[in-house]
Amino acid sequence: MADLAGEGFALGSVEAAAIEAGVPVVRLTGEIDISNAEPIGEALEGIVGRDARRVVVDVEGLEFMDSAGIAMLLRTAARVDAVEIRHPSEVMRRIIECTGLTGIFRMTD
Amino acid sequence: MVETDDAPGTSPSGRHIFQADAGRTTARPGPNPPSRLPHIAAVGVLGAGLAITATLSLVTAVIHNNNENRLLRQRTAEAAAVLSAAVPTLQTPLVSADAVAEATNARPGDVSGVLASLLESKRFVSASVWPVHAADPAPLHLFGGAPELATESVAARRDMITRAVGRSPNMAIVNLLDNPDRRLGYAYAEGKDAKYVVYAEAALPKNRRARVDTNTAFNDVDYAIYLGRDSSTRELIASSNANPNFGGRKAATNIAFGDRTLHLVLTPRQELGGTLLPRLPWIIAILGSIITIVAALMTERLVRRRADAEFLAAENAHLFRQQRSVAQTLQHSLLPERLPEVDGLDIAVRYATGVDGVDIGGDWYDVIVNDDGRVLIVVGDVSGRGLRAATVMASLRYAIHAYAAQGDEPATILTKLGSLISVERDDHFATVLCGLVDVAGHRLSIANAGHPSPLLVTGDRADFVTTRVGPPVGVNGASYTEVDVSVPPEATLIGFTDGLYERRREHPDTGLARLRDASLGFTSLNDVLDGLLEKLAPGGGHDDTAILGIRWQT
Repeated sequence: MADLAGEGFALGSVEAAAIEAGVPVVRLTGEIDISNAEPIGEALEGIVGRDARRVVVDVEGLEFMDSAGIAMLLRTAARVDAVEIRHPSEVMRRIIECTGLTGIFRMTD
Repeated sequence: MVETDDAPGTSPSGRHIFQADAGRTTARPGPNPPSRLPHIAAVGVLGAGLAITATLSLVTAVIHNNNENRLLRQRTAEAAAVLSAAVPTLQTPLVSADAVAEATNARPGDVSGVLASLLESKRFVSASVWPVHAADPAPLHLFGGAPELATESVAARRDMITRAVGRSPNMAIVNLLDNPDRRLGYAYAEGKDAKYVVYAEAALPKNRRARVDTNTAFNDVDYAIYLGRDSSTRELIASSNANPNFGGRKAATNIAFGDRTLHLVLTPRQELGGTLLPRLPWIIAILGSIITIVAALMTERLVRRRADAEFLAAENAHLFRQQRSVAQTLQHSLLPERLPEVDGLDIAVRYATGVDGVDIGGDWYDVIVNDDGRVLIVVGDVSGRGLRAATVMASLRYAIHAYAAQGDEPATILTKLGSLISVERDDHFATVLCGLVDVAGHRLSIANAGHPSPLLVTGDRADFVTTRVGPPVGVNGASYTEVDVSVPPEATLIGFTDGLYERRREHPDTGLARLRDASLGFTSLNDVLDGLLEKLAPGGGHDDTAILGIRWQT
């Protein structure tokens, strides 16, 4: 679990939730923005590992994510075949649609 | 006609334009260096500490003084009690002797015996019995040496007799202190009817020093005993000190002594209350001064540190403003210096710096007119912030110029941009809106790489242009498709970056609806852009915002 909190920093975290049929499920919570996207991204890469072909990202507990957070997810997407975004909020869903990323991130409820 | 609006100070809110912010920063001087405050504070502490020390020292001295006075008065009272107790031991043998003289009518055999016993006590050097009724009084019987009084005048001798009879039952004291052989005389008679007076003389040391100081209870004081009610040197009986005129602290009391009075004066030889209390004022003064000086030095140090910290904080704030202004200047240098003039089209742009951070943003706008007269408009936003984001932005902006010069269509341009950056490698991606404007034909061919769709305002209607949103530039394998839009006469097209409408945790559609409503009700293009900044980001939004507006003149 990676946390980065402090003055001027968003409080967000990433943790390994489960392995579903060999597919790692990671859970993002809190806020992810330019102030903490880098360490959280590194932790995310560590959890996903080098060999995973698919990743499930559960964003039910994610309250906010800016373009730095999307860049973080896009980096993960570039390294695997498929990224599933599970439990996106309406806001998250709309941001992904507006950014033209529905073909990259498969959103599931 | 072309309107470019990136000159300093032309924005109604001022702070939205780089130069306005930069100008404000350079006008503000840096923080002042640390002041003389530490010295003042230290001197204050020093003054207060020394004042407290002096007061404490003074109070202790006063307490000590009062204590010494009280103790001396106590010793004086004790000494007076000792002296008072000694008086009867002088008088009692005289009373006994006189009783024998009266009873035996001064028969020589009886009287000689009692007079001899008076001398045995060694208190007296001469003892005698005198007849009361005699014109020229002289001793009837004498033991020891001749009384000094016998050499005095008739009046002096008569006075002794008169007082011994008159002051009975007190003995009469005869002052012979001035005589060469210094003596005190004691005379006693039984009362008014007495026929005889017993008279004895005691010799006093010629140097007036007390013979013995054996009374160890009083070895911490000097004393002087006078005959009378004051310390007249002539009347000095004895003193423990060669100089009986005591200076400094002294106490006096009077004691009944026959028909006269003894005046007792005491002065301390040493501190009566012990050695600590008299030293205490000095100890307090020295310790207090040391503590005060240390406290003053520490105060100076602490205040100086605090002043240094405040100076550093102010300096940092100053550097922050400076760095921010540098970032804004750099940002401005990466944006088009001048926008081209295009017949039939009004063009205006705004760039507002976000209030967060000092980093340069990655937002940009551009208008490119090719040799063949085609007009390309671009609005883009590189994710993240900082020099790296700005560099990516600059490379994309110049690449678009190159592709446009080759005659590439918007969708092709966006696809080609994908080979320049990769989110996996660069950690940045870019959303880009790229449109080809057919001014005369009132048409627009527009391609979108993950960017918010532009707003088309016609009269009292505003709608977002429907575009086919492809992935942002930097995502592998992205491809784009243009949409063709028909533009009504005198319509305004507004491209923007997400800083204009986005709020944390708010649904994007809510912000977009707010933006759409804010775009209505203006006449000129500049008014629309100013109004949007004013309404949507009053005082500056959190993120940087770029706006590009074009308006068909017909």
